[in-house]
Amino acid sequence: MTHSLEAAENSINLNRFVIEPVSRVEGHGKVTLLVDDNNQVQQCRLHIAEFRGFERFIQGRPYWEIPILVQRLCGICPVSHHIAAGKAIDMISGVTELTETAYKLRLLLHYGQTLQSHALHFFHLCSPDLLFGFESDITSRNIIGVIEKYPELAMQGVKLRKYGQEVIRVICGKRIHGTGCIPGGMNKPLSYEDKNYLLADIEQIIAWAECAVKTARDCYLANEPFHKNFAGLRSNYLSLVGADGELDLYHGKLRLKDSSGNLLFDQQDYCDYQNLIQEEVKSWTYMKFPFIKAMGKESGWYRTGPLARINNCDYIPTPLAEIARQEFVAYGGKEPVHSTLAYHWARMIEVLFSAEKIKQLLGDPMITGKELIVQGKRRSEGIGVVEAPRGTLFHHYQVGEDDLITKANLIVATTHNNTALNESIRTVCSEQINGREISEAVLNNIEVAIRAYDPCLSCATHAIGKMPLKVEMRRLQSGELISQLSKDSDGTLR
Amino acid sequence: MEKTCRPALNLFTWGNPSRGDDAIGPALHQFIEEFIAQSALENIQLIEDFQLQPEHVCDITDNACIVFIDARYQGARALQIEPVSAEKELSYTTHALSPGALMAIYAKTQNKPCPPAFLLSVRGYSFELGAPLSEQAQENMALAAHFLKELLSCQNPLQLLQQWVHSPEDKADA
Repeated sequence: MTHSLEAAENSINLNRFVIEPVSRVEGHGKVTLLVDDNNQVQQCRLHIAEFRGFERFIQGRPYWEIPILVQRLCGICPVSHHIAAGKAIDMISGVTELTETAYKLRLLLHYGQTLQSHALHFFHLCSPDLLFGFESDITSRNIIGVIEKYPELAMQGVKLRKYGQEVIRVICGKRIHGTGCIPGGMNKPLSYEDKNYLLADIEQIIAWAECAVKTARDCYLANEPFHKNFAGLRSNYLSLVGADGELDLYHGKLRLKDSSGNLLFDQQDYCDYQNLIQEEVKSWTYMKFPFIKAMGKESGWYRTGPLARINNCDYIPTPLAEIARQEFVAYGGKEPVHSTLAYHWARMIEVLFSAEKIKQLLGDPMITGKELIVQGKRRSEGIGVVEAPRGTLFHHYQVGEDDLITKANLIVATTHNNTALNESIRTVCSEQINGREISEAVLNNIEVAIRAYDPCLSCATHAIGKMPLKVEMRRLQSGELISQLSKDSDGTLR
Repeated sequence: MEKTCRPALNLFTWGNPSRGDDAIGPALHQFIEEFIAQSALENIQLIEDFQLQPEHVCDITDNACIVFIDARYQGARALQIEPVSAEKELSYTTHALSPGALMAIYAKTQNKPCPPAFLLSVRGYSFELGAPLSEQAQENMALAAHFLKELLSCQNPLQLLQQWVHSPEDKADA
């Protein structure tokens, strides 16, 4: 992999463009471009302010408090952090195996979370680009435009998300800041009433999830030659898989495939992650660049998330999602599917998988069991890993004798995908932007590439008045403003 | 009997309790929840979330008056109440929706006119991770709590909200 656009050979007299913040993603990031007078991009970087501060913030807190506290990392995937932290705290509590009911409740919670997060991302954030075109009229390229033109589809997305939120609510007691995972298990059983409440709609949810797969697939295939290469990369893929190589988002061992689909490692214990993964620091961004230590940073970077998971697993253990996976794999042929935009297709396969898993779990008599907690012998360290909606999520804690957290390390999906995100937008610059006059529509191509990864730039701080979009073109040395385009938080373009 | 005759109120609060004054929304949520319980108030729906999302249109009940409650990052006033109209917002940049965008989705999806809606925003000053509520924000919240007590207890919340919209300085001084 070349990184030719990571640093311009000579930045003198290049024009600087800034996309800040990147829109329709979670949190705050920016893209900077250095462009020569012929509108050829010479440097392109995605800069992200990650939440390293959170690791410091939770030091000194009691370990049993962590699954609750980490929900405040993110407004979209708090449950993923809750469960990953819960698994780590299980280990600290000396618990290696939950009761059957507690385990199944955690699965139900996790698949509810995945369903709602994926539905939100696809329907709310990405479908406008896919349905209307990457450079279509900005006044319609949003969820309200989708609702106007495709009301039934849009409402299916809204209701899929709503259903996932309801799964979370009945298990955790509240939509947010609820409690489910506690050391060694879960804190309350699922009532028969709540089980039946969720069962009442599950067939409709599965039917809508099937429609979602079809929509994502059809959007992709409708302009396949363009979509296949858009922001395209050949990469390695990292994910958890189950003991039989099946797709499992809650638990498993690490599998890494190369760009040809060959296994580079398999069934690796995630507790050994520090020997497998190293993180590189670069001066121009807060977010690190993880890579497989044994492969080195040039060839050891990888992608995580839905594309990685569907490429990596041997099968999906639910019937409809497995059929969808087989079609996806057949499209890729002998190799993994590398197209960045195929993330959306893979993501909707996981929506279908999540819906089917929810049905399976609700039909299991053990889901309403009452045995919820086991105890073990306290340890000083715990590692919890799950496949969060955006990719493999690592939570690692060390605890002192006083039960207070002494050290925390989190690696989130967006961090894993950092190199890929940067490479994807550089590909877009080379293939879609070079030689063109810069405009909002042209720059949206970069954001389309970023959105495919569903990055969680995590802040959940959203006080009114923030989040403008501003693009400036300046002379690099003098700072002279050549032109600018800005969008206020009230939508006014200036 | 009188309590159930008054128009329904749907209150939406949101924010992150671990980010300084972004906790204004969750803190007011807790205050409202306790006040509703203490006063045995009815016909009030209180919804808390991290962010406004499209599915919140499903929470809006018929004939309700909607109040969105959040921290405000800018502005001179400690407490501000403004009407919210359905706006086909162009500028949303994260997963989160603005109140106006949510009302636009309501109008498009529910085939009903939008109910009266207002944004009650409380000025915050510090939104750093791990920071507590600032002293100034706590003072502003006390004003908000005073207003909310009146709003939750009165027989005509719509009229009260409209009065505040039209004469906020006078009300704040009072």
